Amino acid sequence: MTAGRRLATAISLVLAALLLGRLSWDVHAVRMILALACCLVLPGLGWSRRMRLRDAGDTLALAVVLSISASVVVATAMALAGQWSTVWGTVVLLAVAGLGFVPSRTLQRLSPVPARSPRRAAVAGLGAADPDWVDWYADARRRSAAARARADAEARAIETQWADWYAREGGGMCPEPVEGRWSVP
Amino acid sequence: MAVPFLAVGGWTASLWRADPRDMTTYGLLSLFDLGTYAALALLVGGFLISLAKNKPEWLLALYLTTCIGLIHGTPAVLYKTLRYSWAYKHVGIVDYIQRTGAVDPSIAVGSIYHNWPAFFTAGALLTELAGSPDALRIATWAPVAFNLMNLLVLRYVYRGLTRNRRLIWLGLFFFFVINWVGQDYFSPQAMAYVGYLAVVGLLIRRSSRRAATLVPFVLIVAVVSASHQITPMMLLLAVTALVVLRRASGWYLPLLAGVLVAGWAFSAARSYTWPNIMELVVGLGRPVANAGETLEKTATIATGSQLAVIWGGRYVVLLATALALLGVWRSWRVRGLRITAVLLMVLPGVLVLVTGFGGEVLFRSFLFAAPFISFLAAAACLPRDGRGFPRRNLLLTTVVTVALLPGFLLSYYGKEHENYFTPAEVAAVSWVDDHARPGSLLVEGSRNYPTQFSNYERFTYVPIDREPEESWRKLLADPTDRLDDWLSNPDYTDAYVLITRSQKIAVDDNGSLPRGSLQRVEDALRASPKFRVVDDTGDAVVFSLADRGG
Repeated sequence: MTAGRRLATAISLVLAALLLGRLSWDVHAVRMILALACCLVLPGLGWSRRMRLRDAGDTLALAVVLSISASVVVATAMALAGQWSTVWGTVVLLAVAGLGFVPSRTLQRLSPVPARSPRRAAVAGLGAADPDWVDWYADARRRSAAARARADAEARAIETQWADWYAREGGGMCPEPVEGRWSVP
Repeated sequence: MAVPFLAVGGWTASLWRADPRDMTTYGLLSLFDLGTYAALALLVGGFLISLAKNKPEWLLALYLTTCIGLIHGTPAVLYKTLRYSWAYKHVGIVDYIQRTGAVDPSIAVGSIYHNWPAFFTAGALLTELAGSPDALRIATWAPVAFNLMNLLVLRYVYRGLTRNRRLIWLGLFFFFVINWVGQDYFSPQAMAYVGYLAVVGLLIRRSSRRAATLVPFVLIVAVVSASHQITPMMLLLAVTALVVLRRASGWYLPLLAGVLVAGWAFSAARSYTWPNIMELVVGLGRPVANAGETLEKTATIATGSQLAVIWGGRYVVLLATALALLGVWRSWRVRGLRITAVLLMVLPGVLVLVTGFGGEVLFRSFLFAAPFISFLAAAACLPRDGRGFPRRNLLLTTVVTVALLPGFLLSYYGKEHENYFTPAEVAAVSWVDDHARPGSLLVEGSRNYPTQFSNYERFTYVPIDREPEESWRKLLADPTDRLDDWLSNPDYTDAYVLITRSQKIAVDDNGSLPRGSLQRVEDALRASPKFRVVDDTGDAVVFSLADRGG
């Protein structure tokens, strides 16, 4: 995410929070819509985008599911602990929403658990610069194409060595290799 | 693009002056006219033609969203009250949490909800954020919301099985045509179902980033485990089967899911799990008995319309499954068995081996199988090579849709006669909830009314139609003396008898009491000097003893 988009997202969240605050005492229907967004979309949206699903529908689907999950966890924790507070519940959900938009590298720096190596960090999905959530089929095809190319190169190399061996060792017992005779078509 | 809006206009115009009180035993269908069916045909036809012409996905989504809005939103607009008595009970749990800020796993009434409270706590938080005094308004629109979520998440699942856009969208369309089970109302099952689909979608995709799968997996499974009883079982089955058959990677995932499911059941929900575990153990390995519990529930139905409603649903299941099997066979002939989809279609049948789930297991099994039945049925309707949508395939799809829709409409709308509650009934129940003191007795004609949605823990509930036969026969023989005995019990602070329009309809339709029983009880109480009417809204009447306050 570019710096410009991050700034725009942060401003949008702040404006959304201000709008929620301003409108919540005025318009019941708008408050309902904002409550739905706060519980069903916002908490999971950043985290879902972080998964880089490359499809807006998939991203939104996981955003909704993760948001519901976050709302459930926060609300159930409050109810089980007997410490119900709508304000604190909202604050936590908005914090979860905000953290979802924090860049991975920043999260990694803030995380108390350091990545031991760049490879581990990449596997854990933190700090990876390049999106490595790939379409598995396309990924398999790319790997297979790369393997085929390597095999072709090895085959060509083997053909060259074979011809050289004949030239070195065969002497008069074997016909002179004809260029291209052993070439793979 | 104008077609969905035209369909909405036609549908709205045809139902504009409809009165839900005029519903017959065919439910909401009895209010439909030619305009309603024309609007539905326009919408369905427009969708299929758009699919055939490879129109953009946003347009297909607009069609399906419009379908969902019309089918599942019409009761909300027309009735102006929440439908289904169970939905009111769930609103009551949310009300309890709003008032007390906590749950009570040892509570006498509705303890199962307090032991798996995740859905209700989230509902309470949402209700408070929305500034509503109760969750009734949210619950009224819950079917639309949950079906829209199902649309989103199921598309995510299907995109993990195939990238054939037509197959994805036709599968989605069939899902909404065959899913008559009606578990989309304000309920833990509806939320848990979305979680189940999301976990399946996560697992059938392969990611090189384990955290991208593992963290959401743990979170969603934990939430499902804390919100419902049967969905975690189904989730555990699905995760195990997908990993064992190598359709998903991660040998540790079934163990993790098992720990989360069992962890909740035997820790936070232990006060319910331990006393009831024998019931689960007894249900193991008894598929016939478990399935029979579902079928027994319908065995007492006698009238033609009720049989039509029941067989409408069964017909949809049979036809859709037959089509799905055809899809499996065609896929096997051409591209190889779609093992993942077949597995997830067949697996819910295992639930029948495990539990009867209070007579609901067959419905729930179909619910969990429906996405994959739809997917494979869609595969049967498309060309074998997956390319294009020739006219013969479009014609086949149209014929299948026309064959499925009547069964769906019958089974989804056919019981609305009982499920509709008038505002006057809701007002009467509110009166009782607001006036009764804690420790009150409430004698109900039946449970089919807007029950337990406010201050529910104050009451001991006694539905007349659930009494043993000997007991209700004695009551019907002499209602005033019998009810005078019950209401005079000094163990209760206040005592009421509540008889509503919807209770009478349910009792007469289901045959749980002789026809007209509740009307006779009401007439007897009105005529008796021992009782007085404390509230009468026209559709519901509340009695208490004449010499008792309340």
